Parts: sequence; C-alpha cells; structure tokens
Amino acid sequence: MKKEFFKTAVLTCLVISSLMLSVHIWYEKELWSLDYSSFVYSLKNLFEKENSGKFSSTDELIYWSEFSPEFISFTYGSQKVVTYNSSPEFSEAARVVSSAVSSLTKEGDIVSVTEEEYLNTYKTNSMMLKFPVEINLLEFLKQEEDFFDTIREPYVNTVVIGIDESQTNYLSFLNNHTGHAYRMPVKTDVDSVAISQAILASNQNSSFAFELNFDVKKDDSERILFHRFVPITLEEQALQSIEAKPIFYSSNYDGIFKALGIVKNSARTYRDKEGTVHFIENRSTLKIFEDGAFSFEATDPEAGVSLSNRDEKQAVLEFVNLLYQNIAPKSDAYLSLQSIRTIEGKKEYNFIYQTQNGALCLEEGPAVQVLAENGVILKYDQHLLEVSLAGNTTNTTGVLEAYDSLYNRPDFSQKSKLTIRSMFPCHILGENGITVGWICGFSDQSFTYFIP
Amino acid sequence: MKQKFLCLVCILMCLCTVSSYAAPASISSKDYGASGLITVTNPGKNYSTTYNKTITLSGYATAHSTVYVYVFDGSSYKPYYQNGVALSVSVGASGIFAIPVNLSSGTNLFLLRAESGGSYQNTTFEVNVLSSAMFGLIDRLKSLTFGLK
Repeated sequence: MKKEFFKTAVLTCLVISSLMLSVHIWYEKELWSLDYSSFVYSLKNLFEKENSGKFSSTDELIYWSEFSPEFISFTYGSQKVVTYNSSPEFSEAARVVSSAVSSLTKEGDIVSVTEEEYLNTYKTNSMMLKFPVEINLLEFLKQEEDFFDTIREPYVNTVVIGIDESQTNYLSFLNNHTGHAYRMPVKTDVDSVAISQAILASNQNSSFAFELNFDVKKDDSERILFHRFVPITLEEQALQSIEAKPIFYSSNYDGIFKALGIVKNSARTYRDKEGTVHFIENRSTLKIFEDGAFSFEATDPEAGVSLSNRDEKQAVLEFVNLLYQNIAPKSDAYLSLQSIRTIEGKKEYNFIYQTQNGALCLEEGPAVQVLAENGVILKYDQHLLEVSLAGNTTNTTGVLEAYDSLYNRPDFSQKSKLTIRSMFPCHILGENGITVGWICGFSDQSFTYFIP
Repeated sequence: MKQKFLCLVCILMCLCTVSSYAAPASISSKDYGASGLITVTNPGKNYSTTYNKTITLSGYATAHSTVYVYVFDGSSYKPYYQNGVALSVSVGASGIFAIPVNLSSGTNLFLLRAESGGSYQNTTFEVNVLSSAMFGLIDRLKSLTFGLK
C-alpha cells in the first residue's frame, strides 16, 4: 500500500512538473501577451516597437531599404555630378528625389523610344538614379498599376527624370524584362535651387562608361570593361565618416530568439572552444559568435521562419529591418538590399548597413545574408553593429585610380573576364577597423571590396 | 677646381631636366609614330560635334605610359595648357585613361601622344562645338515643320 502511494506521488509530481515546464516555456516566449497566433506569422506580434524614429513609418523604412540608390546623378548643362550614397551631399540629393517623386504627375502618353534616344536623355538636364537591384518602377514612384498605361510591370535598374523648368520634362526608363525603352512627359516640383547650391557646386564633372565608350569591346578578343551606367569619376571622392561597434550577446538578443523561433530555455545549449554559443533545436540551430555575429539555419522548411503569403522580397526587407531596429534602436543605420542571387531555386538576399549619408560594408561579407525559399527563411546570418555617423569626411580616389588598384590585385585575375556592373566608394570594416575603400560588383553578381 | 666641379654638376643637372621632358614642344600633323600604344574611345570618331564646353578624352594606352594632350594652333600641334599646366596623365596598370579638357567654340583639333619605353604614338581627331543658339534654332525649325503638317 505504501509502495503504491509512493509511486502515485512520484507520477503526480512528474506530471505537475512537466505541466509547469510547459507553462514556463510558453511564458518565457512571451508570445501569449502579444496575441500571437501560431498560424499567422506577424512581426507586429514580435516587435512592439516598430520604428525607432529614423523614418516616419515602418513603410517608409522598408521603402528606403528597397529603393536606396547606389548613386544619384545630376546633369545640368555640360556638368554631370554623381552623388554616391556615401557622399555628404547624399541626403540632400535624396531629398530632391523624394520631393520630385511625391509631386510627379503624368502629362501625356507613354511612348516607345530607341535605345539611342533613351541614352540621350542622360545628357539632358535631368537626374538619374541607379539601384543596386532591379526594382518595380511603379512601387518606387508610388503610383497605381495603370500609370504607364499597358506597361504593368516596369522592372528597371535606372530611371531618368527631367529637371528642366524651361521645357517639357520626361521620365525615361528601360524595361529590363523586355529590353524596350520608354519616355513619358511628366511634371514634377524640383527644387532647382537646392540642386545648384548643394550638388552642382561641388565642381565635379563625371561621365558614364557609355559616354566614354568603355561599355563596348575594344576588339573581339576583349571583354566589355564596364556596364554602361558605371560612373567614371575622376576627382577624389569625399565620404562622410562612419563609426561602428559590435553588439555582443546580452539580453538585447531576446528579439533574435523570438524572431527565429528558438526557445532559449528548451534548446540544447553549449559553448565551443571558440566561445560560440550553440542553441540546438530538433531541426534548427542558432549560433551566437563572440564578435557580435549570429547565424541561424533550419534543416527543414517547417523549422524555418515563415514570412506569410506576401511578396517574399517585401517580407524579407521588413523582417531584416524590424529585427535590427529591435536589437539596435540607437543605430543610425538601416539595412539596404544590395543583391539577390538565385541558388538552386532558393533566393539569397544580401544587405549592407546604410545610413542617410553613407554605407558601411564588411570585408568578410554582407551585413545580413538571408536564404529563403517559398516565403520561408532557411538561413539567416548577421554581423550585429551599432552604426553612427561622424561629423568629419574622408577622401578616396576616383574610379580610374580605384580600377588600377583592383587590376593589380592577385585575386582580380579570376574576375578579369567579367564585366564590372557597379563600382562605388564605401566605408569598409575589416581587421584594422573602418577604412574608406571601393566596392566592385561583377556581372556574375559577385562583389569585391578593396582599398586603393 | 671646386668651382669647375660645381659648374659641371649644374650643367649635368640641367641636361637631366631637359631629357626627362620627353614630349616635344611641337608635333607635325604628319608625325604618327609607332602603333599599338594608344586607342582613343572618346571621341569615338575622328570627327565629332558637341554642344558642350568640355569633353572627356578617354581610351586605352600601354600600361604605365604617359599620355600628353596637344592642340593644333594653325601650323603644328602644341602642348595643351589648362590652368597654366601642360595637360598629361600617367596611365596606370589597367591602361585606361580619361582626361577632361575645355573646348573652344568652333573647331578643336586635338592630338594625343602616348609615350612608353622610348617609343611613341600620336593620334589626332577633331571636335566641333556648336553654339546652343544653333540648337535652339534647330528646335524651332522642327516645331515649324510639325506646325506646317
């Protein structure tokens, strides 16, 4: 009798402790208090604080994360000024673009133009934006789908908007998917005073590769050197200085656990010889490195992060930026999409840290790299940094000197058959801290970071 | 003896300075030199027109050569001076060069000279600057033509 009672007591204790443990895990994840639903993934459920104040709304943050241009170029008379996204003048140039986009109205029908006519628009009084990835022009212009009449999916890398107050202005673009160029009369409110004072006063005079015929083969044996819209800047480039410090593992990592669905208390945890902390669940792993980086990987799509049924790119942009804001609310940076690669049916999204006046690239790879398939994040890597803008500027070379320096590097021989699709100055974080260097993007979508 | 030695050193220094300025002060329009040292990509043709007051002369030259800019003065090509300096560039390892120059109204006859390892190549081209008033006139004529239709 005593033995039976003892057995029952032990069993009862086990049942009660298992129930308590379940409640503890449920409570620890804190999803119950946020109306979390297991069926619909929502970042709003995970991050109460959506916006730290750098942008007026989350939508605005996502907009700039997707549509942050690599550079903005202004042509006025015979002068062409290229404002890279790391220039001190970039925020001023972006303001001019914002006001032009928000005031843009259609003034006539869209017409098809020849490629030569399209290229000639770059020589007229205009501003041109070059994006690191292909964008939907309608989304960038915040217009309805019938804005370009029958052209419903205008995917572009560049767009030109006329800024000549004395005559009809046109919006011109080349549709990447069809190869057709178009021109449409538009009206915009452009602050020409701001353009002339803040941007054209820099006394710079650049050309695009196509204007110098560096986008064609010298002879049959040669390769195409530059993509037509790589700016050939000859003057030294001033960059707004940037500071960055790593965010080490602490309580502010809770957002990472929540977002990636790793339950800290129930996951098998150990620290390896290098000091990396591993959180292992049945079909996913989170590694937190000593230098402020973390890496998540799911071996099964069901254990990945489901981003709902929305457009995958938009959902990734939102996830990446809201997670970063949650961890580093004081940072001046957001994450700007730099490239998208397709690897065995999966999409790899690469991001860099971007501030209003400068980008920060990491020598060892992208700031964030996301591998997703069918709206599910399977792999997520980030180097967590708190980024701040400094008051001073640092100079670097022009494009040709930078290219000469790249040409001399031993690893360039592997890339020497490829076309350079983009080249721009950037702050680079390497072993010796932050230095000013260049990023070179190649036609195979790969990148090289180097310091001339 | 000491004075003679100093004079000799001075003469040698002067000679060295002169010999280091390899580009001639004047080049005949018929002097082409060797070939394969320089290819001009902009302007793309030997004869071109523009409405701009500046042009960026660009191309490929032998790595680590020097490219000099000359302009025709009516009798021969003379060094092109911009802001009081004879314009030239040292070409880097890639061989690419780009030189922005100011243009005069009307005809501009340029010569680019590439020098490398004791050999040289000269290449000439013409850039004509049209006045923007002419551009406006063409526009007006176009609108008149459309109006007549």
